[in-house]
Parts: sequence; structure tokens; C-alpha cells
Amino acid sequence: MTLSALGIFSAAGAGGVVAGAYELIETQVLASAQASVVFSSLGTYSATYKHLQIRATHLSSGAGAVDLLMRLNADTGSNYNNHALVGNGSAVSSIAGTSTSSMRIGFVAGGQFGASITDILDAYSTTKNKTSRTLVGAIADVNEIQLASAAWRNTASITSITLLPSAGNIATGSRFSLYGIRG
Amino acid sequence: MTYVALANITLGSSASSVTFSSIPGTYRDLIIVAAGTSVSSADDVRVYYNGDTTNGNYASVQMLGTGATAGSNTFLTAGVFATDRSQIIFQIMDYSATDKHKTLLSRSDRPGATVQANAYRWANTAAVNTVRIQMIGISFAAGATFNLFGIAS
Repeated sequence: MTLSALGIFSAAGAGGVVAGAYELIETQVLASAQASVVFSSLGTYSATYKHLQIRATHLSSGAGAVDLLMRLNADTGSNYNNHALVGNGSAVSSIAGTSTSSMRIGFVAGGQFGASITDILDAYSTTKNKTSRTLVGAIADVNEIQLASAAWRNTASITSITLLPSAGNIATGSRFSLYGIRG
Repeated sequence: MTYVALANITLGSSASSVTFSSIPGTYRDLIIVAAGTSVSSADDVRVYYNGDTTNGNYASVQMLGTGATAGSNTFLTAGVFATDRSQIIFQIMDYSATDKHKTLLSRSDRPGATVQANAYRWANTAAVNTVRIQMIGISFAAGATFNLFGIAS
């Protein structure tokens, strides 16, 4: 049994990478409520890593449960798509967005911390549009588990990641860790 | 190292639960990979921390598909094991933090029957030092494996 065979590096439990090739790039723990979290200067790692993963625990401040959004390279154009499968404790539904100004990668709950794990695949490719997948859930003001995917219709290598709630702020104590996966 | 193997358990005989104890608080997240089968039928799996087995202190939501139907419920479970090959990957987030309830995300797969995802919360801010993985009514079969990893940050 190997780590890669089990796919334990992936949020959705599929695929995998060579053991020992998973490294921390940066962790941000919010000391105050913030409207966004930014990982910048990521071009530094373009020759080192193939994929990126964000592991987070997060809480909404002042707005209840809201969408968790992601922008790459600070692009605010209508260049993103997203889909999600949502279980809310009573039914399963699906949501989608096309030509949006950010990637919807999940949600940030209010009242209690929730968590998410987002994989950004082939983050440094210059020939592929960028895609992400997220497992996100919370037992809080909403009880939801979601599987989300999103795309940025751009082949540029990633230089920055901006995470932001669709309304309000991300609360104090929320944690975002960025990892690089060699390939 | 960022992704560190902490402990492995392989069941030599069937058992209704397995426990990882004395987990160091030096990592940010924990991952547990469980693979194997149950002794009979399908049964839900719960996760208990620090010896707290009061179900009222935990809550969950799950989403699952069977190939014929899809559904979601709040029955307390973090996954399922069955007599067909089963696998659960538990992601215990910020397990060593003392300022937040503990959220677990999991993917539970029975390729022969269901696929599901779960969110699961322990209403306690204590750092986790013991994790017990419990089948509700039956047992994990001999040969089931449980691998614990720590994720540094």
C-alpha cells in the first residue's frame, strides 16, 4: 500500500503524488477579520511544484454563510466557471456559474468554523486553463458538504491566489495553508 | 517533513473500533486513511476524540450517491464500511487548535455500492490527542488498515 495508490494527497481522494513531495509554502492565520487572503509571489515556485493545495479552516464574519471565492493572478474579468454538488442534510442539489468574475470554490459558514481543501491542478502550466477542485463542509449556521470544481480560462502560470468571501469578511482565527506538490 | 506518517494499525482480528492515542500536537491537520471491509453488512463509522463518546457532542452532514439515487442527511456518521472493499479518508482540520470546534471532512467510497462525502464537527475546542474510529453496530474485519498522518504548517 503506497501513499500515491491511496490518493491521500487529494481533496477528492483521487490521484496522488510521490510520497515526500508535498511541502508547505505558507500559512496565514488571520489576526483580525479580513476581506481577502492573498498568496503572492507564487511564480517563485514554478520550477519546483506542479500542483498546489490549500487547506483551510474558516469562519464568516458578519454575513453568515457566504460563498468562498478564488481569483488567480488578480484577474477580475469574467473568465471563470464553476460547478458544485451540494448536500444540505435533506437533499442534494447542483449549482453552477459561467463567465463569472471569480471561481466559486465553496462556502464560508457563520457561527462555527468550517473547513475546505482545494487542489489547483497544473498550476504552473502555460498550455492549460487552470482548474481546481474542493471538498468543503461545515456544521454551523448551515449544515452542508460540497464537492466543487472551478476553472480559470487562462493558460498563464499562476503568480498569485486571492481568496475572498462573497460578502462580509473572513473572521479572526481563520487559517489558510498553501502547499506545493512536486510532479 | 510536511506530510509525516505517524502510526499504522492493521487489524489481526475483527474489532469494533481502533484508537490512535498520544497524538502529538505538533502538526496542523491529521489525515487517516482507512481501508478494508466490515465483518457483515454495511455500517456507519463514527469518529470520537479524546475519549468523548457522547454522540450529542458531535454532528454531521453527508451527501451520497448509489448509482440510482442521490441524497443528503444529518445522521451522525463520518463514513461507511461494508463487506465489499471500503475506503475512508478522514481529514481532521486544525486538530491541535484550541480556539475552534474540530471539523472533519471525509470521502468514503464503496466502489461496489456508494460514494459519499461528509462534514463532521466535534463541539469542543480542546486539542485532539486521541482519535477513536468506531463502527456503530458491527466490526471492522481482520486485515483492515488505518494509517495516521500529520500535516505540518
